Amino acid sequence: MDATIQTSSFFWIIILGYFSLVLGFGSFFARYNKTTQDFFFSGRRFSWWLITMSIVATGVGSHSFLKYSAKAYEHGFSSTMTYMNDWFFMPLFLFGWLPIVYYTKIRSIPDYFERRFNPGVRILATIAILGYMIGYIAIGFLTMGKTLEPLLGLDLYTIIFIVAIISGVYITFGGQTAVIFTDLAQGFILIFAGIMVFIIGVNYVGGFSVFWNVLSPEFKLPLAHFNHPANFNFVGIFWQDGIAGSVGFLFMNQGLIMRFMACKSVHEGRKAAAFNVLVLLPISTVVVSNAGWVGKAISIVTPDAWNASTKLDHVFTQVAYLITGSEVVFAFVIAAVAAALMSTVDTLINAVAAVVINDVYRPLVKEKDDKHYLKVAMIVSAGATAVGAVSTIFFNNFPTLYEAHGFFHSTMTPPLVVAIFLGIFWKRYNTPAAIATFLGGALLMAVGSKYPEIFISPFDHGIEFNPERPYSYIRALYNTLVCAGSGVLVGLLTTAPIEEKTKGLTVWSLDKAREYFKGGAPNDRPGEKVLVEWTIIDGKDDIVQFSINDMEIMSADVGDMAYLTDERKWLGGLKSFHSFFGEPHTEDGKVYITKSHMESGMLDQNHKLRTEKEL
Amino acid sequence: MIDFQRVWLPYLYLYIMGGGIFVIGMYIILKSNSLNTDRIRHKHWLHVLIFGLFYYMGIHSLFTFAALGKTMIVMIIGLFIMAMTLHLVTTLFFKSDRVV
Repeated sequence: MDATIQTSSFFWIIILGYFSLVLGFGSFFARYNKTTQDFFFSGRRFSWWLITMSIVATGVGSHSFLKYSAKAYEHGFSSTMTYMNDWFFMPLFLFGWLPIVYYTKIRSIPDYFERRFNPGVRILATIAILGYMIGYIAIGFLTMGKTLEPLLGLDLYTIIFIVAIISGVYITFGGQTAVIFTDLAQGFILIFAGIMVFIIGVNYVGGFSVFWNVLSPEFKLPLAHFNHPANFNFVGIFWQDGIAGSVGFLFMNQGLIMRFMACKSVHEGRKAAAFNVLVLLPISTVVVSNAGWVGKAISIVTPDAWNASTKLDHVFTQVAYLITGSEVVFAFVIAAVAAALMSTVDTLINAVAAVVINDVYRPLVKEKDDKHYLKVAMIVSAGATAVGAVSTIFFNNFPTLYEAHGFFHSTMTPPLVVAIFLGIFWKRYNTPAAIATFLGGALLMAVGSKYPEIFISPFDHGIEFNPERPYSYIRALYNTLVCAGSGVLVGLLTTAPIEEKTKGLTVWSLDKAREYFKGGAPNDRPGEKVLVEWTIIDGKDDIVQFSINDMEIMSADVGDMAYLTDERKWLGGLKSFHSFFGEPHTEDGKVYITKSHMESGMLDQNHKLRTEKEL
Repeated sequence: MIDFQRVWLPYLYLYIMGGGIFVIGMYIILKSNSLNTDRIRHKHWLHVLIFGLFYYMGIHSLFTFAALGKTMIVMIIGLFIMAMTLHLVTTLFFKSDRVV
């Protein structure tokens, strides 16, 4: 076992100071939670840049500095593979799943399954998604424990217990708005900290030229060997992480879906997703992996400085400690990483609460006021934290975090991902087919797991059979195929669903979904945004009134949906609201709104409103 | 050993399998009219989606050639990616914001 890294009390003061600052920042915005809608979805108001930066902290935290630094140290630049696979699914996500989720106003992914199929399928989806998210929370806690283990010298489970209490308290009172703003701050800090480690690390080994030349060409290749070794090969990682993992993260991560639902419009959600995959993921992959590359370079250039007995999951902490040379910088880096991991966990705890309240509790305990559901959501958040902490015992049995995560993706995601995909894109996919996907798929997955040499080996692409951990990654291909096969077979052998029942719920009827969302025919005439002063008038109807000329500029008609936000763009939509266009007046540059609009948008009297036609 | 199987087979597999998924996805969203090229914003998105695929192909090939020490090819691919990125930024984050 590697030795405990020595730190002074000054180090811990900085760590605690950082946590207090970031959590305080998020808690400040918790006051915007007035209803369960705000607690879970932040009132559908934010700009793309705010959402995309908050996604960084969730994504980077969940995939973790630790697991990629470990693989980067072992296998080189191919540790970046996972982050660079997501674009293949973007057409289906941006123009399939995202608008369906947004326009149908589903509260959770299981809610979609009830609307698309029936309450029975909803239960199956709820079980699958809760298992997925609790597993993710457990891996988050385990990662956090392993980050702090070499620093604290305490037992891993003691650290996890402490971390779980802090996370639980924070999310229980904060809700989604607090999480989004905490993540926004951490997204920036995380990228800064990761790049700082890279720059300092490269300098430590003697500059970029030394760093680059000391590493072998094979180490620097961006993709791993096709099918070797068994614990890290291209084709296995492609199916496990690139397909099951990426699709799982994009399509069935309730936490991520809730972020997109917090966007002010589908267009903003698309921008957030595209910017994240095109710009932030390539940067993030360097941010999370570079400590491993730097560690390898240090072990070659200055082998005496490198502790050869360092555990793989401790590579990041070891490198950060070696290269920073200052306790302040080291404390900042560790605090940034630990806080980011907490963001991921907090997002998922909030998501578990959303699923339990909307998919389990609300159907059982009906017609209570919103305060009641909000209180239960807080209790569920605390419960989810406890279950996640206990589940770390199972995942700690794997040799590294990467392998624990790989097993998790390969087994938990295929049934739900296949059911979502076929549900969205195949009109013929019906209730018996969805049940077959979940139950038939799970049965065949269990059979494959019991007899991998018979069932999974035909798909192994030449990967060596390791009897201790057979086909850790490529089993994702087998699992996906049996789930899809079960669903397609039953779908073809049974009657197709009535078209009326699936309207607005598949990619083939999105116009209908937009119509339901608006409550009338969408208006797609191109228009411009306008900047207006606002005045409160008496009234209870959810309408805003503009001048005839302003409505012409926006190409808006009476009854269209409007989005009004504070003129200060840097607020990212925090002070904003949605409404409908009412009958126009004649005062250009002015909008009449109600007191309720002002309160829900938390508007400032001194600032104008930027308005656009939404639909 | 740096041979074809080590260097280019993963690349080809990635873009044949992944590219296949991408093409099927594009076919579905165009056929279903979910991506409606009659709408200005959607036309921009069509460009962005196609750009994204070539952008990632470019990044992977750039790093592969860099690992192999082929500096000239790296520079050409790098310039190509930068030009495409500029096009993306103007298309997605400026032009598409002018229309609602």
